[in-house]
Parts: sequence; structure tokens; C-alpha cells
Amino acid sequence: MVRLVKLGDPLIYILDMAAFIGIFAILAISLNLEYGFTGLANFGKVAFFMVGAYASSIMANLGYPYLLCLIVAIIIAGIVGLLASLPALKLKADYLAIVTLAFGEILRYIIKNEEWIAKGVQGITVPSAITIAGISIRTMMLLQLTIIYAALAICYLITQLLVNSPYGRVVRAIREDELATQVLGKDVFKYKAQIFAVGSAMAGISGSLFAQYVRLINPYMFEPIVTFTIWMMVILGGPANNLGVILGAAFVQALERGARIVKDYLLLPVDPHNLRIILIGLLIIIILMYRPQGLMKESKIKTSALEVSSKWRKKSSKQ
Amino acid sequence: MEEKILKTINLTKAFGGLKAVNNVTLHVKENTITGLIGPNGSGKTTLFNTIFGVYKPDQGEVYFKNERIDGLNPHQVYAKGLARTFQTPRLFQKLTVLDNMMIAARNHLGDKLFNVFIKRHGWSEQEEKFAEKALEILEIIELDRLKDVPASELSGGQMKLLELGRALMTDPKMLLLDEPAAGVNPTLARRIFEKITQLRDELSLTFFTIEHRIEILLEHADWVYVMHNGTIIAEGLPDEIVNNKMVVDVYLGEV
Repeated sequence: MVRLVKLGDPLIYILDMAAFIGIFAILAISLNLEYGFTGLANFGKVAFFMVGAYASSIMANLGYPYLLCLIVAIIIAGIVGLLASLPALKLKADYLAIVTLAFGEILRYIIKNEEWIAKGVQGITVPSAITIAGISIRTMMLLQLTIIYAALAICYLITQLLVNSPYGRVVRAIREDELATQVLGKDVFKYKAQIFAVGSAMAGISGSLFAQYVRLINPYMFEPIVTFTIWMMVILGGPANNLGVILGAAFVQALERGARIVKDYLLLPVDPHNLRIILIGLLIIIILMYRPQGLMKESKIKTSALEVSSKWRKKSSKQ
Repeated sequence: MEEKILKTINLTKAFGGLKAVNNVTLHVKENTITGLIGPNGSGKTTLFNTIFGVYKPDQGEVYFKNERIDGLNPHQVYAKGLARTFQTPRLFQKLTVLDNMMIAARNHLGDKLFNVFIKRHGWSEQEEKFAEKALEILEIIELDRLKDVPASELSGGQMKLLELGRALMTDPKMLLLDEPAAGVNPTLARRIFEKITQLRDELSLTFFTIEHRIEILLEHADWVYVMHNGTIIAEGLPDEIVNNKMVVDVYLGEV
């Protein structure tokens, strides 16, 4: 039953998959910062992704250079994140999840119904940041990939710096026990709001890159399923491990995009694109049963304290 | 010695109709171990929580070193120089023993978001000093061998010790200890109190301690308050408390 049905440029498929992996890896890192490290169950992740995408695209349509569009997307997503967090962060984890989920949907319905903002359901096209005459699709995609992966590298670096610091130690403590962190002198609410703002700003970056990549955005692209996909990446990859969640993003997107490639190239008795949903669900269950910590376990807090600590061992063993 | 470091005046905290803390006026003198005993549900932990800003009092005032602290949040109470432990240790389970200690560092530059990216050198040096201090405290409480182990893997007694160590790491003037010897074996319980006495003498710390192990507490305490149904029913030297008829009736029972 298996036979080749259609031929296209296979490299394009691979590059396309790589682009989505990069865009979603940024989202996974930002959710990891919020949930994996700080314990904030943000189920409205897609809202900040959407804010970034729309802010950037509206700016681009007004003729501003892409770098400025990106910066505006980061700032607006960060501010929206901060504002959304102020009432929500007073809530306990499960309520926070519901409030953020609702927030995402409300925002999406506003975009959908308030047509003056961005043409509602019709969506808006996004002018390309890369305007080189006579450029081939492959080169174009390679350029886009370079931008996406440069952004991913920067987000990864920022997050790594954050979590491997005394600051990162405090946010992990908040995840473990809020009250205990408070009585040790930390203004828990301030930390949570900061993390939410940083995480949302990062989602804004991803949204801006996404809009640039797909070149047409509409509200249907920002349904709650996107949030759940990001959650899958974090849970699969390993909460509180940034490399792990990038791996998780690669894994889930490889399945998502891979299923489309298989669908285009092979004729199977089942639709692989629908099969992938079952596969991902199965995978989550297996991971949660046999490796609940995810593919990679929580990373250590790497600061200069570790060096002092390792020398201490030598000192005491000499005696 | 005679300075009153902590004072509460008519402190009241009610949950619905129940006055868990009812009109409590007490004081703790500097450089003492002051005990707080009473039957289960008498309001001891609620009193601690109200002093520390976990609950806002319905009425009354709390003074620490003549400064009013009621109405402050826990992290602001900490900033005044108070530390506390909990009845069931509230450790950061997934973090290592050393990281549990490090969280408690006071005025760490690296605790601030923007300093993570700038001034890295400054807080990195601070971090080393705090790590040394944390390891020294861990050595005193004999947990330094376990410094790289997640707190969740400690035994109950070790958790109690780590929480005490963490409270010491904050450089407090005074510590509120909620049953420091609960759930540990008698030998360790005694050693915890010996350590507390040593800290009082060597570092001039003040302790306000809830404890159910009366015999050990009475050996080490300088002054004892007895709480029952939200009110202070007696106070005095340990010897006086043991011989107080009312205390024996409601709490100690016939010996």
C-alpha cells in the first residue's frame, strides 16, 4: 500500500520543519521559565504569542523596518503579560491556569470581532522583512532560519543566565514553597510578575518571527491548542531544563510537520496527519508513566557557589 | 538582657467566630530562650503567623525592637531581622541542601532581575562568600556531607535541622521556632536545644520557641508562656510553670 504519491523539493520540507522547531522552541523556553522554573501554570501562552504576531505585523504594514516591529512586539507582549499577571498572580496555581486560559481566548475574540484592529477573521498579510530581488525560495528560507535561530540562541542565553543565578534560585524556591520563600525575605509577587513579563516578551519575539515566516495571520492560528502544544513540549522535554524543552519542541514539531511530509509523499491506509495526534497523546502518557521528569531532568543551579562547594569537599576529606 | 525585643499588645486574630488568638499581650526579652507551650489548637502557631505577617491581625499591635511590624508582609518582617521555622519543615524539596541555605542570604545583589545581566562580577563574589557561610553553618548542624543532596531526600530530623540552619543563614536578631524538636528522636531533640542555647550565648540571639517536648524545653528556657484557647493563661520561670496548678490542669496533666 505504500507508494510515492507526489514529488516536491524535500529540502523545503526540512527547512520548514526547522523553522517551526525554532519558533516553538522559543515558546517552549518561555513557558519553561514560567512553569518549569517558577511553577506558574500559564495556560494562556498563545495570547502573548498572538500579541507579538499582531503587534509586529500591524507595525510592518505601517511600513516600519522589521527590527523596530520586533522590538515593539517584545515590548507590547511584555507589557500585556505584566498587566495580565497583576490580578492573576494573586491566585493559586489551578486558578491561574483557568484565568490565563480565559484571558487568551478573550484576547483572541477581540482580535476576531474587532475588525478595525486587524481585519478580524480575514486576517492580515505581513510584508516580508527580507526584500531582495530575485531571491530563490531556498535562500529566502535559509535567511529566515538564520533570523529565527539567532533569536532562539539569544532567548536561550538570556534564560540560562537567569536560571543559573541567585535570581534563578529564588524563582525555583517560589515553585517549591511560596510561603517559605516569603519568610526568607523575597517579595514573591514581584518575582512572579517579572518572570511573567519576561516570558510573555519572549513569546512576543516568537510571535513576531512566526508572522514573518507564515506571512498571513488570522485569529484561527491562535487557538488554545497552540498553548497545549507548547505544554507538551515542556512536559516531554523536561521542565526546568532548557535544552530539554528545546528537544521537546523539536520532537513535537517533528511529529507535527513530519506527519504532513509523510502525508504528501506516501499513501498510507491511515491519514498520518490525524494519526500524529494519537501518537503525541500516547507519547505523553508513556513519558508521564515511565519518566515523569521528562526526557532531561532539572538542571542544577550553576553559580560560583558550586565551585566553593566542590573545594569544600576536598578540604573536609583531607582532614 | 532586659531589653524587650518583641512585644505584642492585645493581639487578636479570628477565623470566623473562632478567636484563635485572643487579646494576647506578651513580650520576649533580648538574648533569651522564651518558650510557648499549650495544648494542640491553643493558637500557638496562629500567634507566630500573626507576628510574622502571614496573617493580618484583627486587632492589636506587634513591636519588634520598638518598631511596629503588624500589617507588614512576611518578606518585610524578615527585613527587620526576624526569622522563623515551621511546624512541618517547609524546605525547597527539589533544591539541594546548599541551595536551600543559599536562598536565605540577606541582601544578595544577584537576587535582582537586572543584576543577573549586569554587575555579574559583584554578585558572583558575594555568592562565594555566602556559599562559605552556608557551608560553615551546615558543618555546625552536621549536614555538610549532604550539601549536594536534594532536600527531599533528608530524614525528618535532618529537615528540622536544615530549616534551623536556613533561618540562621538570614543573620537574624531573633528566631521564631515552631516545634524545633518535633518528630526527632530524644537524643537529637536534646542536641537541637543544646545548639539553640549555644547560639543564644555565642551569637546573642533571641529565641521564641513553641515546643511540645516540655521536659527538654523547660531545661533550656529562660521564660515560658502558656497558651490555652487563644489566650495566655500563665507565664513564668520554668520551675514556676511546672508547679502552676492551672497549667497542670489544662496541659501537663497529673504527674
